[in-house]
Amino acid sequence: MVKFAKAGENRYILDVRGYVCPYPVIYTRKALAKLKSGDILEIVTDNPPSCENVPNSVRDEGHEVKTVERIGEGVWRIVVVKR
Amino acid sequence: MSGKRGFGNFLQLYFRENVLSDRGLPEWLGGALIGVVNVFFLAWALKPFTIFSGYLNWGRYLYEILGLHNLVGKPESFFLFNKTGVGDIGLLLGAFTAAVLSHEFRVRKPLSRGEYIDAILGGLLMSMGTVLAVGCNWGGFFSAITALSLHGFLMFIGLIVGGWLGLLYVNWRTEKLLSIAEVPLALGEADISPKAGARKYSIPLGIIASIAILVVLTLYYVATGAILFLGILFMGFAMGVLIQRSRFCFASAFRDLPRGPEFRRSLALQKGIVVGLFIGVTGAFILKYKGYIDPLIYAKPAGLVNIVGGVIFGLGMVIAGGCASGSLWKAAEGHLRLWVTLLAMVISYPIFRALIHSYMPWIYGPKVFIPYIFGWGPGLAVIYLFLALYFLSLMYLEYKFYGRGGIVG
Repeated sequence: MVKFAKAGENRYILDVRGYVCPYPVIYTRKALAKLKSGDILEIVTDNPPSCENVPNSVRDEGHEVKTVERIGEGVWRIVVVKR
Repeated sequence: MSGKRGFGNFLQLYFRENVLSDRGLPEWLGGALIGVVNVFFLAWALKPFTIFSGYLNWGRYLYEILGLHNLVGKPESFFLFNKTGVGDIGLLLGAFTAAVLSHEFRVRKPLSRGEYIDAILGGLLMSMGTVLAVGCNWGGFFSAITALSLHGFLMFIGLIVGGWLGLLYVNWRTEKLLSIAEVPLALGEADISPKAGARKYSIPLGIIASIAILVVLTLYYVATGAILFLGILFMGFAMGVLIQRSRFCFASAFRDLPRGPEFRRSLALQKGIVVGLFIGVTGAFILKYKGYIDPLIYAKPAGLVNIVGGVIFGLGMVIAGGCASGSLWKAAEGHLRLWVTLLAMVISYPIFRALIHSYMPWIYGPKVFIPYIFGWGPGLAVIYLFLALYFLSLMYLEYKFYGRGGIVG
């Protein structure tokens, strides 16, 4: 199940582990739509193509991609700032 | 000693940054290299690179074990001497090796019953689509076009429609899922620490396993004198590495072409497909025109049913989350749901095929080999023209939606 949680002041986590394309991108868009400008969203995915597709989609929507890092075998954390 | 280690480190770093990085290979490069392997495969195996007849072989084994071979026919060859099946095994091994080396292998379980339903439904639709289109996204589309056979162009039309239907399904599903997921989407605690199950040193183990399998198979083929299959195994392996590294996903390519969520990637993949087709068509044309191979290799029936098959297959691959090759690649990457899809295809394809071939053989059209319709030169020109228009349409979409400076892929 998608987990969307508040992790701190203006900081949110979206856990889409287990989902394949295109769901990580879709849930990221939906989550970003719920946030305020300047909020930070950390997306966690274990679907390899999503570590490219999620940042691409986020940039296309005008938000900022801070970092994309692999945090384990086949797991990535993508940090995004809503604009 | 230190000099040697220095070189080792250099190599490791080089490959990690250029081949095994998170970004993978650009789609156009993946497409081009896939086109090259496609030509090598055709020249070597005297058949184009395809996927599904391997599943037919495996499925027939399964039914034979169950004593039901009267339904679907006996396996036409031993599975290690089946050209398509050995290519499939190579692809699986190649994708697995590439995934392990690039730290992308991980056992991923489907999250809900709905995902198993998707996996099975997608697999069944792909089997039926393959029967109708006389091939999957390879035998019915990519390798069909490179075989200069009309049926590939017909399935292409179907795939465009099927991909779009798949996008509608995905949108419907996320709306439906989201309403169910409203509760977990509310604020709660999310644990994002990598699960204990993510073992740290899976890499050497995975590599040892895949090398061991390759060595055993190599020795087997050398001992039996079956060098043909040794070549096929390694070409399948190369295909697997390329598909995994460039994330060459036909499902994404066709699903998101009508401005889906991964539209940018879809355009890049489609351009990769055009590049691959251009190389594949050129190579196959040379082999066939010069008489190095029989021109009619893989000239298959072409009719309206190929379009219908493309629609069904296109929808199926989107629902499943991977096409014929994508299912193998993602299964090798550790997605259990794609193993379910593979199983569904292996079980259903022999049955669907036997049913349609026995009761409805009239649905298929005549074999249409394009150079025999237009002549060799004009035939090639017509195919190139199609590829040029296909490429220009993609460029137009890119221009329209990403405008100036929007370079994709």
